[in-house]
Amino acid sequence: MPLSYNFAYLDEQSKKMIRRSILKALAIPGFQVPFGGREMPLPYGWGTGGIQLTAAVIGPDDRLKVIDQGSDDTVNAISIKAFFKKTAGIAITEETRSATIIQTRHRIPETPLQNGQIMVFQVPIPEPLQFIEPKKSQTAKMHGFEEYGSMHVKLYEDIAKFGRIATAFDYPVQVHQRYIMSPSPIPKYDNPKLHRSPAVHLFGAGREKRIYAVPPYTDVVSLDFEDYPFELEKWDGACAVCGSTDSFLDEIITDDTGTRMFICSDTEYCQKKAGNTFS
Amino acid sequence: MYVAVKGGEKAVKNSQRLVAEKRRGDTGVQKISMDQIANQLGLGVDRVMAEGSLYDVTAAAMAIQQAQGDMTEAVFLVRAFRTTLKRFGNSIPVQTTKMTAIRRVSGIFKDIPGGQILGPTYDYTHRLIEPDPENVPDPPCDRQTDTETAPPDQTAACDDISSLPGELPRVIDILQAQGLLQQDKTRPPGDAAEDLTRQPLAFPVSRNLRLQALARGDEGFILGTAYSLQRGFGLDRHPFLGELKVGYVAVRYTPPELGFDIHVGHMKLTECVMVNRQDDAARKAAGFETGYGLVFGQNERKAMSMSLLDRSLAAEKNTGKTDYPARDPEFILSHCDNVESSGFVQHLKLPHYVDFQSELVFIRNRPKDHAPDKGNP
Amino acid sequence: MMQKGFDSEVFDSQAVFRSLLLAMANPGTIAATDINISCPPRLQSGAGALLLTLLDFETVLWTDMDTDTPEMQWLHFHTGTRLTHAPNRAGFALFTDSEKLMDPSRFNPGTVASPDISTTLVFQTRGMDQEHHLRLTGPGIEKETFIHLPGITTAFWENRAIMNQAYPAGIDMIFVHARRFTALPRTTKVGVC
Repeated sequence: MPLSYNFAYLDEQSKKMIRRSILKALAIPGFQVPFGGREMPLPYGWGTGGIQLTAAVIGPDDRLKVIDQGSDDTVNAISIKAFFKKTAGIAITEETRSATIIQTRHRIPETPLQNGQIMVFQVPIPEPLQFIEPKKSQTAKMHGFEEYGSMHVKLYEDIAKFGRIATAFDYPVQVHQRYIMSPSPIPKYDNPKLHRSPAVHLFGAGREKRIYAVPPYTDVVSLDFEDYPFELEKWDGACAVCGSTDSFLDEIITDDTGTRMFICSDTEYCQKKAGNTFS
Repeated sequence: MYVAVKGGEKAVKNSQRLVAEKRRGDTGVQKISMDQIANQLGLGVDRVMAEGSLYDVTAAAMAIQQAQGDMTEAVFLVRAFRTTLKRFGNSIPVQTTKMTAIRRVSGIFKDIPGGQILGPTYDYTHRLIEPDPENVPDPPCDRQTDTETAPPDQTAACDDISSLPGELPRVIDILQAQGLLQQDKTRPPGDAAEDLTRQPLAFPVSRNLRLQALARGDEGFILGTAYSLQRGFGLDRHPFLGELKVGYVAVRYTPPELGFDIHVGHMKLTECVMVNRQDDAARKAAGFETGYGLVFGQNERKAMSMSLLDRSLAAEKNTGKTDYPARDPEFILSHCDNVESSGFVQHLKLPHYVDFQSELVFIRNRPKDHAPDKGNP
Repeated sequence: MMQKGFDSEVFDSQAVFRSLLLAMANPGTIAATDINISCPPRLQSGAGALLLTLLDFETVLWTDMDTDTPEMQWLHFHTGTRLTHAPNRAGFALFTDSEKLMDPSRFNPGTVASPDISTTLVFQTRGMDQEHHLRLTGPGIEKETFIHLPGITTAFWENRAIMNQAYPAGIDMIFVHARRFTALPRTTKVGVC
């Protein structure tokens, strides 16, 4: 048994392979690059794709922020931070603005990102067409020949049934007027943050062995129809902690009769705002 | 003021402390040693090595202990260890005809050249839990060839393999010689073998990748889907066991700087060749085809199931019943890995409250005229 | 005697890759590495650093040099990369001499279904600055950016534009001068000013 592991766990050859895939992903925005995903010491579904990306990108000078559901303190975020602290001795931050790499599950921070920052998304199912066509052999052709009619049909069926598009998260986008892409299971509230964002967005799916990317300043458009445009979630109330009315709010059930209150999903944003407001 | 749930870090630490306690159990009970696991839970070690894709008895035993006997968790530990190991090169393909067999059976001929060797098997035991295992005496060491139990590479009391046959002809060569076997066109890939652990599966998938995926696939999944074939969900005839062998093979490797091959050790393997009737309608010729299974350690259930699936997944040969899961390479090979499937099923335990919130907002904000419970036309 | 590669394989290659990642994400910006490698004479230090970062025994390299040159021996020793004489089978291609540029369409642009199996070209150039010579637009560029790569002909850019019309198939390029480099992925539109 080895007494120590390499910096950031992965061996150098695995990092090279992942790095080559990242470059291809950046050169073909939204295209899912197949890569030789390695087995990580965390389970599939816990962010192995994101962890491999971070491990291939990270260096000793980085400041890493890890969030899950927008929070720096959820169990999975804690576990991933502990992994990089242990294997790379990396500095951890909760501050969106000062982080150089932000690994995330299910959210994009509310604080606007900057050029030079790298977002790393953990992706469970990279294929936006998966529930229309489960076979990779088929979806590869559909992407290749831009056969996206079935996706529009699915969205249109929603409108026929529900009067609107019924996808609330992992809402499909079209990147650089070409590939339809899964933005990962972020709420559709976060989709507009991808559009022409100054940051680099890397997406890693460990179990499905796919890497894809959105470079800075790239068009990312949520699919919709002229008469049924893309709409964002709206809340009636404000955050009970910071009073914010312009962030994604989680619902907290406060008693067994269903009384509820709302607080920001982005804990760092909320704390900053609360500090600014009340102190 | 209510503050968002904090304390994740402390909770994780406490959970890890609890699992360590549970693993140790009652401290009044003696701790299990790795030797005890390797020797007395050998079939469990074999399974963990096979699905962990790493032939390392010590690592597998440690993983079983660390996982409290949860085999899928142990496989995961071995896989994560395996990822970090440096790769020196490819060994020379092992020669299973030169296997030192501890067990060899064929279902298609009464007797076979080299003989049937019953060896260690539960097949003919009565599955009665021994009322008092403490009082069952250790078996004597006067065994014959056909009751071989001890591996040659472990220090056990019964460690004499010299009386075992050195070379056994392949049973299916008999069929081959009589021209009854459809020729397998795929050549052994040799050094050009692809590696499932370094490249993602792409469909259609080559036979060597298919066999790799099956060999490390979950035993239960492989067994269940092979069983479905036998029940008519993909096979229309009864398959036959051509040959099933368990034994030890030498592993040889040629270091590029030496230029000649060296013996690097032995490994225990189970090999199975399944024979199916397959008529070639185009040539109006009846004949047989084979499916192949090979797994680390002794695991006959797995090797046999694998050989059934190898045959059924040979898509280019598929005719007739193809609409079944066990005939669909993408269905079987994308779902047979238990590290992948266990991870993804269990990730549902992670918080999903943001996505759920999106769903809540969506459902609450439904337009009045589209209430789904009204049975909208 | 074989010259050494990175001082620290782990940290030097990470630093180089990180600059390259940002270069590929922000086409036309000039990145630099402060890692100085003493590679054989016909390899510029930046090109040596990039190739050590990208190549290993799983890559196939085409080059405009002979395979028995000290440069190729150095690369092979430090990375284990395989070499090919067939441009369309290369994963990476290295041009050490911009006099000998070839039509990029001789390399592999990938396929419509697998555009990622394409060749990435690495060029050593005679200079690099941000004079208004080439106007760049596309993903990774906020509005427009300019670059000047002396020695690369207008015809080359025309051939590149024709080839990249088959998008998503196409060829990605990295240009190196001394320790500086810039990347032009297939999505970048290049206009000669």
